[in-house]
Amino acid sequence: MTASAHALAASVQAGRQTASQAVEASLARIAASDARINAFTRVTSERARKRAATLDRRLAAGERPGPLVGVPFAVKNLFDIAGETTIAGSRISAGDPPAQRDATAIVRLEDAGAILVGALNMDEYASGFTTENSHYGVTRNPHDPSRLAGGSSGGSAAAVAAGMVPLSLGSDTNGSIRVPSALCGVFGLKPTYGRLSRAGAQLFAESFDHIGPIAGCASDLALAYDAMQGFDAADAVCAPVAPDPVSACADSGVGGLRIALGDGYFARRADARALAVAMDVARALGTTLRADLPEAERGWAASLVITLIEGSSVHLPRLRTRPHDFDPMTRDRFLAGALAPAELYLNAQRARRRYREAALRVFETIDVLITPAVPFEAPPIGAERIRVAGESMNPRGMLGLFTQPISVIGLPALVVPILSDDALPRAVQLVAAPWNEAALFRVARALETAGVAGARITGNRA
Amino acid sequence: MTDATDSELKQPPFSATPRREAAGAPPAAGDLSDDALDAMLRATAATIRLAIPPDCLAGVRENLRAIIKTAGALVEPEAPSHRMDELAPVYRA
Repeated sequence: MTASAHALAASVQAGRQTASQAVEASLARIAASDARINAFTRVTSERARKRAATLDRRLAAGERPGPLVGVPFAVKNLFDIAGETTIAGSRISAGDPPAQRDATAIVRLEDAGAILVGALNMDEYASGFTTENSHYGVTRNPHDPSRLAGGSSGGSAAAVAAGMVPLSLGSDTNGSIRVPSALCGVFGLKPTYGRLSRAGAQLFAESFDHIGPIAGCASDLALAYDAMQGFDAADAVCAPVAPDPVSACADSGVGGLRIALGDGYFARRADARALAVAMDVARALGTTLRADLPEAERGWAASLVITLIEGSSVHLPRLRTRPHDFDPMTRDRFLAGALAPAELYLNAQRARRRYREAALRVFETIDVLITPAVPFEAPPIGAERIRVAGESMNPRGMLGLFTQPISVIGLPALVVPILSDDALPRAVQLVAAPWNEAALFRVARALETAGVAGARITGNRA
Repeated sequence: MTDATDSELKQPPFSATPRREAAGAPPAAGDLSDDALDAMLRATAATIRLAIPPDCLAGVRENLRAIIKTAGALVEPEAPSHRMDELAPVYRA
């Protein structure tokens, strides 16, 4: 089960294989691989087989169920799945009643013909960059199981990188789609804040929680993103903007786009290889422009403060009643956030607003900013310190150095894995102005077709 | 997600001196003794019906110190009047 989603859907629609065969291939791959990776916390085999059988009947009747027909996908276990408990990586929520209905994102992917096959591991309540989950175990990097897959959507990226599913969903507050996508060598999209409905997903820091797809190629990412677009009244921040499909325009090239390589904040505190890869990408795109986001450092600090305080508020009832059922690191962090003075939060919000205004001015002069996705390659599991650019860092906090200043102001960003001879994946982050996801996909596809970018999927591609 | 327990956050994330400190304002709670900070934490927790388990106190204290230090980098210069920020809902016709 390692074919791309678009190739698989074309094959199923053409009758070269059935949706049931596609699902069985995915389930077999999960059975064979997941003991090594620990990406899945639940495999919804029965639901998947029923859904596949229904699709096969529709196909036999001459219907065209959608652009993702027969494509197996899985979701971070903070998305509601009807009849399943939404555990959000926690022991506490494992005792909650089953969800009554599917999250909006699942409904929309299935409306496009996709088939849900399971739920994926994550950091507890999305608070972390490593998926070292004390309740459900660590998710391992498919390219080196002694290394981190990243987080908090670690299961979502690892499942795609290990070829268990061609498509998954994650959530991203500070980099939780982008960091694991980069470490696992797959494509990941965090759209503009408000673009995709979060209804039916467990929130973490509400003012910058996003959801988005992870896939093995830019075309699959575009198909999934397009399928999920559209207003949803069930999410108060889902914007009433018309869908802006990108699948059709992704191959239109980069002509006319003003592309700049990250400078200043985005050109330091990373290892030399991460910076060199970003520079190589800029060179491949023929750009010599450089740009920085003024006050990005303050944006990073603001994201830390706001996340901690908003996240603590979400979990205050559980902190009151079941503090010892949290992961100890998460618990102490949330307790501190619950007790932080209001002035810290308001100052962080003011700093965030000023930073956003400054950043938006930059995007009046450029269309796409290229930055390293993460400052270093996937660290060993359990590493407490690593040395980067002459600085000793705790990798757990620093993985979000380049992603946090982007999501805190809601800009769309796409992580593109770069082909190289490196032992572990390397990736860049593409950033654009609000609502300009199309520019990101044009650049990602241009890099892919030029042979610069491509996912690393373990096992053979069909 | 954040990991505010990281030692990086015990230092400001960048080198600029926190502006309020530069202006000579009183030190933030990050400079309180452990005992004073613990007393403040317990009292604040009581106001929101939250009990801090004794075995969590050190970790909470460490995280709070980290967040205060990080937040210190976000303080704006003292000024006689602030510019108008849009933190409240504003309706535009």
